[in-house]
Amino acid sequence: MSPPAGATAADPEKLDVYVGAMEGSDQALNDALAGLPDVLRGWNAGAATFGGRIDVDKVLAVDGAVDELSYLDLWVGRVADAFRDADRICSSDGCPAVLLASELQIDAAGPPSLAQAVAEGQYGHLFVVERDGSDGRTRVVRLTVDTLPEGMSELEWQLVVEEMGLTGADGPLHTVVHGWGSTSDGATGAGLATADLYDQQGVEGATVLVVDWDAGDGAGGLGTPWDFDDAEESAQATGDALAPLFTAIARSNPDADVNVTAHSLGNHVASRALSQMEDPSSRFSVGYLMVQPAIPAGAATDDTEHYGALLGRRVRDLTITINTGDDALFWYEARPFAPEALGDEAADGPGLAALVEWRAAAGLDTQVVDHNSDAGGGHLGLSPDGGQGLVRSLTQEQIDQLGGSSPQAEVRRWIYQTYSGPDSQVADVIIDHPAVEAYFARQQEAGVAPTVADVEHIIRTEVFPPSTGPTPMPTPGPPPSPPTGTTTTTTTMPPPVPAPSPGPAPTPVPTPTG
Amino acid sequence: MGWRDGCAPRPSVAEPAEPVDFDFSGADLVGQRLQALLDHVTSGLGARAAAQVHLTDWSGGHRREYDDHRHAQEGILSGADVGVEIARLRAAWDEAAAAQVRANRDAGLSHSFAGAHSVPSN
Repeated sequence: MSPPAGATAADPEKLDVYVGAMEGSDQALNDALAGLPDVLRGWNAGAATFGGRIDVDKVLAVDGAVDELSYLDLWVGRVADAFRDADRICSSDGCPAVLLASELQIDAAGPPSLAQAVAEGQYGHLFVVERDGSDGRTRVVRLTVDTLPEGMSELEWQLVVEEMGLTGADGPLHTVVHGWGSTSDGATGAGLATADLYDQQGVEGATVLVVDWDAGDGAGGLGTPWDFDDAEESAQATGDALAPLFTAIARSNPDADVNVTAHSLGNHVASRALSQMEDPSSRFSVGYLMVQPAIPAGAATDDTEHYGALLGRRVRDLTITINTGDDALFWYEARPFAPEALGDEAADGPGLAALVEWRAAAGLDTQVVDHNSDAGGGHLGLSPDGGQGLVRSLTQEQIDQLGGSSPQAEVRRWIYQTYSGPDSQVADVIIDHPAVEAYFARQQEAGVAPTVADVEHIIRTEVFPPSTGPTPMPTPGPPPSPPTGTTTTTTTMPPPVPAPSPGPAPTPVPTPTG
Repeated sequence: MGWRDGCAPRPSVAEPAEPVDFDFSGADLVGQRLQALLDHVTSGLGARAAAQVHLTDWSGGHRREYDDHRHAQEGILSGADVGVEIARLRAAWDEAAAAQVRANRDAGLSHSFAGAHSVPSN
């Protein structure tokens, strides 16, 4: 029997059975397509004498149709939900299995086409395009997870990130994750500044993904504003919830060039997502810059379930900035029973040493950058601009490493090895100086390696010009020898850490987190 | 079913012959990936057809949208005919394999001929 005009009918339980029946074959078909276009392009580039070239456009068309059909099959579940949610009056015996609803009520399911759903903003609550890249600049997308995404299957994540162009198929993907108390504008600004560095270095097709999580009000926005414990809980929950995002990227493009920069508490988000994701090919890896990480110093070795990615090949290059004089992390540790924070542990502290040792045993590079910077009260920010020369240089190095090596990194290491010492901030002053930043920018833009000689000249003429008087400047030592091991540790002697005052734990004061 | 079932076996390169300009390993990888894609496309179409039984109670405009979109996209899958691409790769494989066999044979003959000349005559 047909429903009356303007009405529609279905048994939502059966629709759900349909969705369950299709999920496995849809996922398998998507897996079969993962990375295939690149494989075919590589083959075609070499196939000449005997032919056998494959029509890549044909396979891309198949890929698009598979995505649409996979979404269509999931959409049937949305229709089932819309039927359940529709208001209706049933007899005292309950509602029948086949429910009637108006077409308008079922419109809540959205369009059946993936492309149309994304274009119409069906996922606008999750993804906001901040810079679309139409002007040739690096694209910036913000992922808003103030409310944790629920009910999205791994397949749905995969379909959406593919449709949003977040799989690194067209160029590198750089994920930036803010720390405690950051605003959406601040996080977006950091993403835009990161994107500008990709443009500066002439990298085409890159996308920066800003993870905008709830860092002030607790998970789901239900906590107390500016409650650090709530924010930490939120960071952990967000990381757990975002594991499927990274799984989706790894499934879709296991060889994607992916960088991650996370600041302070944002390292809970990034580390936990990377540790709990699935990587069917075991090929997915990221370059990871941890800026003043506000996670327990021993997290990676003590809680491998949630932080174990830091020890393995999933994080192929790891850089950690630390500062024992970090004011913000001082308060992190001042909480009752709080652990030592990774970001203000001494370079030879047990947590950091264990992390570096485990990675070295696996043949993995770890770079520990021990600084005394004044920026942010010693708690560097996320954004590679605003006078944060060190973060800028480390971000540029991340981008360089996608191409293999970073000539700038060698010069930066020379600065820290040459101009550091007990309580010294000279190296930080140099790296943050506008003239040095401008020099690095020119070299990056021109694709020319910066040199120690040039930087020495800038230091003598612009950073510490003779007219400034008798500024004490350490005598430069010999240029450092190339790294001999898998671990490069740039160490300065830290200033003394202020002892916590007795009495009740002070309430942390929000600091700019970039 | 393997993508090159019925194709010529992968030939070895017999010294002193040169290898032909064909990446047999690369072709094998591409062939396996395409065959896997074709198999999954086929099984996916079959699974969706079989699962239609769960949709018999569903009627109305959204059901028509489902049917229309399904038919359009499945038409793309059928029209793409990945099997044609596999067939082209098989042909290239067979041609390259035959060329290698010829190269092996020609080099062997040439080598034997040169060797005969190197033997001092009485």
